[in-house]
Amino acid sequence: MKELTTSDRIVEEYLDNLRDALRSVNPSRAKEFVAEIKQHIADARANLVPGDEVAIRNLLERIGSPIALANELEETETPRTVGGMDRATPWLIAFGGFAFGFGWFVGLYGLWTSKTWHIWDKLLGTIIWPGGLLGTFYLFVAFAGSENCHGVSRLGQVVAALSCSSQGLLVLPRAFQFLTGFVMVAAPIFTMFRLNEVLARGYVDESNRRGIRLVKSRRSARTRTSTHVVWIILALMVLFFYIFVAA
Amino acid sequence: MSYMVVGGTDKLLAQMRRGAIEYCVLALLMSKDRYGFEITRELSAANELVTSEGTVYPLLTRLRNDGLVDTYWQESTEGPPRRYYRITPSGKRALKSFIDQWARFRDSVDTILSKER
Repeated sequence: MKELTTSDRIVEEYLDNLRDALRSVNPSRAKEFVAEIKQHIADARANLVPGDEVAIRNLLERIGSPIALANELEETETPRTVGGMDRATPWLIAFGGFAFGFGWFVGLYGLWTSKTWHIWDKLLGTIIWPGGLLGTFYLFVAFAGSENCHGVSRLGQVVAALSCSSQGLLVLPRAFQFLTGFVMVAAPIFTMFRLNEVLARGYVDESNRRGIRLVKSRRSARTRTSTHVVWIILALMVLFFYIFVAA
Repeated sequence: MSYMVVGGTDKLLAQMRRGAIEYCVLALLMSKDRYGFEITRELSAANELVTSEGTVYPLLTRLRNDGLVDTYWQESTEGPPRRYYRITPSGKRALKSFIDQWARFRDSVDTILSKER
């Protein structure tokens, strides 16, 4: 491992102070900003005499104090207040379907009119599944299939020809049935979890307009609680589903 | 909205700097696409324009959010890839309108100041 020079240590200390000062800023924005400053320092150092401690200190002085930079960055951010509709949307998307399907449409409206979610999250919320968890049950009905038996079966007669045919999921081996069922149930719950996760950040991630890269965020106690609730629901669903398949 | 008081020159300059610097960045990008360090170096070379170089980055973000510039990454011969900033058509329009207004504003202020000197 390369040994740190005094100049490296000064730079590291500065960057640490900057990260500390940026605690109140949107984490992904702060991370991006630190990366930009880091790159700036690297570019500037290319023109300096290596080991020139005074030059490094002057360079950092010119960049600005961490506190001043954090203040400047905070001013450029537009804090997004998360409204009641935004809070309700993930739940409506997942469970709203049970309110005669109507709730899901309200959730859908909230999802597409909100600026909190990116296009990919909006598509995710819409496609998996239409109707939310109610959609899961419709999918079961559509794909679970049935076993039809044709034949002659009259009282007192020997059954001559009885042929049975399976359709839909029942054709698949039991393990695949379980897997497909699991995906059907877990997918809308994952969607709700994902929408809540984005909501918990409270900001649109401007560095990531398409919403492809997931940014690790600092979670609040409230998010942790809702995560637990989601996992408990998921576990119960899996349990019910297992009983349903095994029966 | 804060009211200007006599003696608040520093604050006034800071506000003017903040307002004008965005257009200076756009002007720099008219000739060619540039990366962050290049932009800050050009701005620092002009006297009184940038007090702390680091503050240029939040400003670049704001310009990008407003759609006046866009960015792309390009390989660098001296290290990791760099983010380049490029002016957009709406950035060009914003700059053009600022240049017109700025010229009128500067001339009016100069006229009054030179008369009263």
